[in-house]
Amino acid sequence: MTGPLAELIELRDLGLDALAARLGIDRARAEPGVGYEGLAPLTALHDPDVHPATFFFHPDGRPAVAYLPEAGAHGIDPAELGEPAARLRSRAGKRDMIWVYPDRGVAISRNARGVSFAEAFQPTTLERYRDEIYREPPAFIR
Amino acid sequence: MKVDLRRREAEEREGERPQPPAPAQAGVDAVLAAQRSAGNRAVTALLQREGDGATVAPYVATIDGEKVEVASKDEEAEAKQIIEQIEKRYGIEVASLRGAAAVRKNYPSAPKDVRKGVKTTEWKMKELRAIGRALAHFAPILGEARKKSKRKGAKQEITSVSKVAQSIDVDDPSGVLDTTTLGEFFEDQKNFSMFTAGTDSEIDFPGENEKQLEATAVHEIAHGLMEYALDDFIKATGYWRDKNTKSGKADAEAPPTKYGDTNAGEDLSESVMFYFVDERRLLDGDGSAAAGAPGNPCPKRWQAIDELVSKWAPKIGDFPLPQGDPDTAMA
Repeated sequence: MTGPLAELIELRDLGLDALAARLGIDRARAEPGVGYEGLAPLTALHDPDVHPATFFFHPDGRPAVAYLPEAGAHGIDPAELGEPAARLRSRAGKRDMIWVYPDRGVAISRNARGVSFAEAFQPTTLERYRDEIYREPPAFIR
Repeated sequence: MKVDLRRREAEEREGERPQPPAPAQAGVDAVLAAQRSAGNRAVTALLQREGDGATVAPYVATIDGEKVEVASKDEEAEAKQIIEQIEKRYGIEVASLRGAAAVRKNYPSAPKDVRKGVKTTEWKMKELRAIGRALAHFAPILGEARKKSKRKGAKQEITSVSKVAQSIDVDDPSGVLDTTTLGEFFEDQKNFSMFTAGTDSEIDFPGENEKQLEATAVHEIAHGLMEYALDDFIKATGYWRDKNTKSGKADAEAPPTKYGDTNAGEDLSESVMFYFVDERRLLDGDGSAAAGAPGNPCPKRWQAIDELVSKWAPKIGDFPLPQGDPDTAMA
């Protein structure tokens, strides 16, 4: 695996201090007390001038999720990953599905037009991804 | 024509509102009074009891290529007028085949037989009327008016509206014809479609089906016509980190509904829906949600939308200042 997806996976393994140092993001930009889907409380670190992703960490600084919005525009190509372990409904829209690769620690929200967002997390099982990270959206009735 | 007793009995059984007694007056006065007090169902029931002791069952007419269920020649004429006004005034074609084609095109991963099962169905008069009312809210940025509006530089995001029986639930090999989608917007086809599941819905406005139809249509229209404002909306509310992820900020005003809590686009469409159809609900909330929870009062969203809408068309009397010496009158 190469390119933006490989980079995201590499960055997702870094703790808060290491990531801030690696990307040159001011630690003062850290936002404690936030959440990401099923995970809370987390600390978010994001500097759009440095990297489009938002990096989420557990309170002790361990990495939780690296989240990349507009992932298709940032070069994420799901073709690299092949068939997923599961396809789950995505909050991005009625016609979006999240393709989950839990053993690789990657999930990609995609639709017929492309990729909406990507997540990179510590490799896990599908059950734990569904329980701990994923939150099923309501039925898209309109 | 004979009374269709079974149909009337079925309508009365399924109706959420009790049927009012037939008014004492007869004719046009009675029809208008019933319509003002109890809406179209009372009118239809009255018409079915009027006439030469006979009744007219609703029938499906083809009007400008669209199937419409009507109760009379007058309704046929009204349907034709609505369809033609929507096209002429707003530049939107009433074309149900386009919606059916859009559904099939937008669910390419669904099984082929499911996509083949997507069909158009007839409009109800109340739906056409609701579409007309919904589009009127956006009149300054539709059709010819758009050319004089702030949106003149962008192509109109909606060019057709359709009535389709069912959408598909997910774009996946497991997809099936769904029974819950009330309406859907298709960006690539510039189409919004209303579905049978929405015809009698009162999900947001109990007891007010016609208001619900208008609201659903406004929601879908907003997905198209207001998409340009999504980034500004996200900034204004502070609730979203981006289109799909919440910011987690403790003091942020939450969306007006749980459905709006799904993503920023649904939040915007729900907010616009209430702005136009039930402004007080947007401002005051649902009466039970705490601040920061979906359903809370949404004055920030009201403000953001009001600013967007007010910019659509130049204000009457808002003329540019004359150039040069203001003390010298030019002949």
